[in-house]
Amino acid sequence: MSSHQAEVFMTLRDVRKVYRAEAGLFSHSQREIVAVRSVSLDWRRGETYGLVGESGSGKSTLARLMGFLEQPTSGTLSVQPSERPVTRYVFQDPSSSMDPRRTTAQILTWGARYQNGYQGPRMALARARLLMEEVGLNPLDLDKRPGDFSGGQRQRLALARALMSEPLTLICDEIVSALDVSVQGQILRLLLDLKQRHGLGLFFISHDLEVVTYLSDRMGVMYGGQLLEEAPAEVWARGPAHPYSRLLKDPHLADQGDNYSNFETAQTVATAEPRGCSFAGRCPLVQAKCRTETPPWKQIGPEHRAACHLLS
Amino acid sequence: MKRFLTVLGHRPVAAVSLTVLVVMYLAMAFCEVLSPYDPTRLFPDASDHPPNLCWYSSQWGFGPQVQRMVMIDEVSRQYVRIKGEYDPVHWGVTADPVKLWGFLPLSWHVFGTDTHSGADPVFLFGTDNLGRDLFSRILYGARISLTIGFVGVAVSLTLALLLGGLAGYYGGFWDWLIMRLCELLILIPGLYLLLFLRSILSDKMDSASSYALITVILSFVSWPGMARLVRGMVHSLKRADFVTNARQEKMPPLTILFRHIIPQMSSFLILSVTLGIPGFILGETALSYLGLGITDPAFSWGSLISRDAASLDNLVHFPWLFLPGVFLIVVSLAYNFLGELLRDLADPHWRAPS
Amino acid sequence: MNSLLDVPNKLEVPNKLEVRNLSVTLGSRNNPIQAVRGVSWSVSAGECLGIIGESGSGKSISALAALDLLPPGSKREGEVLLDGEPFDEYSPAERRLKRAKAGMIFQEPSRSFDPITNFETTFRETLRVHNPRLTAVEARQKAIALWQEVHLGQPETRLKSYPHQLSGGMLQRVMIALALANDPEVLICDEPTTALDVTVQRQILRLLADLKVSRSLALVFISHDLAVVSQLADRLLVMYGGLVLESGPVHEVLSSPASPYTRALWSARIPGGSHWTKDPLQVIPGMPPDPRSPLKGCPFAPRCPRADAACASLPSLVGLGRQVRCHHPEVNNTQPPAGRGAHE
Repeated sequence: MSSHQAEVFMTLRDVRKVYRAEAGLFSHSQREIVAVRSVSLDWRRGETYGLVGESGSGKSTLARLMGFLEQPTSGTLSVQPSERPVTRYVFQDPSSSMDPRRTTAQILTWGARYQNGYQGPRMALARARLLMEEVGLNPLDLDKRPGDFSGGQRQRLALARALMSEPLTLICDEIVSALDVSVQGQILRLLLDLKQRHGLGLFFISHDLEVVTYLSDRMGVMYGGQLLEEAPAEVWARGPAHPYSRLLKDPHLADQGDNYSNFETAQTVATAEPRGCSFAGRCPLVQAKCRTETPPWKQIGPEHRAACHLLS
Repeated sequence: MKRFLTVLGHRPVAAVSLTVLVVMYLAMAFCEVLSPYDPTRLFPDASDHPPNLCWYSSQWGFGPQVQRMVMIDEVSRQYVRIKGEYDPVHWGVTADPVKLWGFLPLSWHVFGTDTHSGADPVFLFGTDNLGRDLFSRILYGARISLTIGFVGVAVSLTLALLLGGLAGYYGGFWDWLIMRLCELLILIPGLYLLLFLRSILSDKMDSASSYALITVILSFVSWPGMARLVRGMVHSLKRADFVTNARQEKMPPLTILFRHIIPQMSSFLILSVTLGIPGFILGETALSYLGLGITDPAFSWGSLISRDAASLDNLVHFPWLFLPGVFLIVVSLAYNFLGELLRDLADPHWRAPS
Repeated sequence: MNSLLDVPNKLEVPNKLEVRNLSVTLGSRNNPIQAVRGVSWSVSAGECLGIIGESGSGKSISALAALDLLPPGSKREGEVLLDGEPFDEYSPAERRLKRAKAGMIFQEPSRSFDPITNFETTFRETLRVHNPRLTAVEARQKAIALWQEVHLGQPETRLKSYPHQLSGGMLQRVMIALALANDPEVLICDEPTTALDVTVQRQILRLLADLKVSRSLALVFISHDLAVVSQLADRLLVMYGGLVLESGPVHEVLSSPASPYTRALWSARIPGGSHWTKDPLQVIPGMPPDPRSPLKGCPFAPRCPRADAACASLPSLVGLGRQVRCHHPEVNNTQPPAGRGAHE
């Protein structure tokens, strides 16, 4: 378990990301899509932070912001200064995140040149060999291309590549969702292995509740670009507080014919400036102020908080 | 290499094409010794002489030899064979002095007849109306025709990759500027642009500078189309995960562009090169045909066609004069087939059908 | 893991769709891939057969083959019986009519619709395939009725919309409605919930369970997810490497799996809610088999903890009702070992 005293590694304050749909030369209106609406969270050193949400919840966008692949529109994202690269984003689909024309050796070592403390191609290759072995691949396969590997092996390779730059943390965006069931477990076990051996912090994003609650120390629930609840994973698994979390945890609730099953207003793509709670459209307990006022954070237990008007 | 041979084994037509091209380029490189005569040498009694090589006679048996012919009509330039008179073709003869690659003085030729002792000269492909050996002229003409494609494609592709790549990768103002420039150039019909460019420049220049000029003009006309395609592909590829991944590794933008993005377009680039080369050859032919390309005394396949194969009448009476055109067609086709071969080679997913 | 509705054993009910000893070879003549190697299953009205397997196990191909929907160039062997009659004996025209008795829905609803045709047109065209004289008004009424059946709100206005205007869950409902348009007796669902969100998944499963009863459909539900299949299926078929490794009533198969593969798959579920430091992960080692180079023996042998020399030969599928293909089936006390004596 993460210790409560662990120092904060990355701090997000009111981070927002708005995409502008590219308007043509003669069109005046610019469509805006708010992918992340004002998210604040603390990620502690060495902690596994899990993020769950359905498609379109903005969890991937948040991950890309935290991996510095994109700039937030507003808000601050600050990181403890460090010698090593702070984050490394691992993609969902390893077959598209590696250049199909390059050999494994090139994929692993080309990036090393641009890192601090580069010690020449020989050392980089030696490290590549070491990491290949560590992720359970044959170092003799260094001259193969990504297409020669199976899906699971490719994801192992992607992890090896991510570790080449010795990052402090990995941001794993749905890294097992595209894999076969019997291979998913292998990759998760490898991830835990690597975490312990390299002292990695993990930011683990998935739509799969089982995986997130099993893997994470703390977790957050996202919906419609908002963070709705945050809790230690075990606490959350026992008793989620937010109405949306409860629905996620127990989809049977949707059977009861109340507003939960109102699938028609599933996460609307916010084109205007969104107001209120993002879940208001589906919430069975919705009240008037849910639609107009952004819900405040309420402390529910130690480290457990939720953003909902109805909780006290 | 092994992969190359495997791919080659599955594309016999491409293998033939490759051989044809290699042979042609070798012949072009050694045209001074391979051609029996100086291409500008006039044979006064042999205007529009038909090909005269044959392989058998009772006098010399099997082997290359020349059938003697004599002109019977000065006006229609009809020739008849002289029965029973043959001259043998010898390997390695001393004839017209030439300079190999422009500096190595030689008078040795791979084959020829014993003209000093009165034998008829060998005209493999006949002669033109001034009595110049067409075979020698095709070989020498290849010097321009076969290289102009390479040089032209190299120039236009470099321009296209650089400008299109930058426009696609950086976007914004440069994208706008470069693309509008391309559109402006595309808007003008190509042939008129060619004619215009050629006409504002001096037409009294030596063969070397007119060669350079034509190459530049052709490249100038053909880069915008390619640049637009390159720009579009770079634009979509720069969002690919593996590019983001390389960016994450702090790889500099130009390195990403040339190491990761442009190699993805290799099949397109190969096709545009292999289709572009015959395009340039044909472009030069078109210019020469209109009298705006290579002019006498220099000559290329294009100018040979325009000069000799220009009228139907000529073609009916002296069909061998169309041989430069045949060479042109063969080379264009060979490049197309070669393109398919190279595309397979560049495709990382290509597997030999077992 | 209870199925939503317990259906009593219906051994007397005739099979709506049955395949016998089905083999499918895909790919070119030079490079054939044995995707399915001798598979038999059947499904009767009001019953749901769950087919489970990983990618390359042949689960989808066997269903496509049953409906004669294989990609061109592939070869099918074995018998397909629709309503007890051999499918192959029909003429092509009859086959087309007969095929309408079976509907199919796919994983990605967004890719299954023409993006520039609105739903009203799509439904009208589908309905007219079997009833060419249907007027536009009648077709519209029928479409509305179908939309109501799958619980899609405001069909009158929504029928005019285009695929991109609906969410994934709604599109999947439209897919189901479209599959029901010609009153099929069999509905084959190929990973219908995989691309959907958790909360929507549940609703679609529920809808399918309702339709199974209300229309007394014969459902074939294909998935890679044991947890999902177990919610809906009555009987389970576990496929691996183009072969059936185990089959039987869903409770029996899951409570006492006889094939080491089923057992491994079931115990390798991620123990959500517990923390990784307390509950180590069960992992199946090795890789799924490559259909391009099938093994001679048991396909699971390289990954199987119980494998020995005997597994170099292919075990046969043994048992009635509860079948298993294994030389060393798991023996346990809750259930008499189904595959005893499976040695050849």
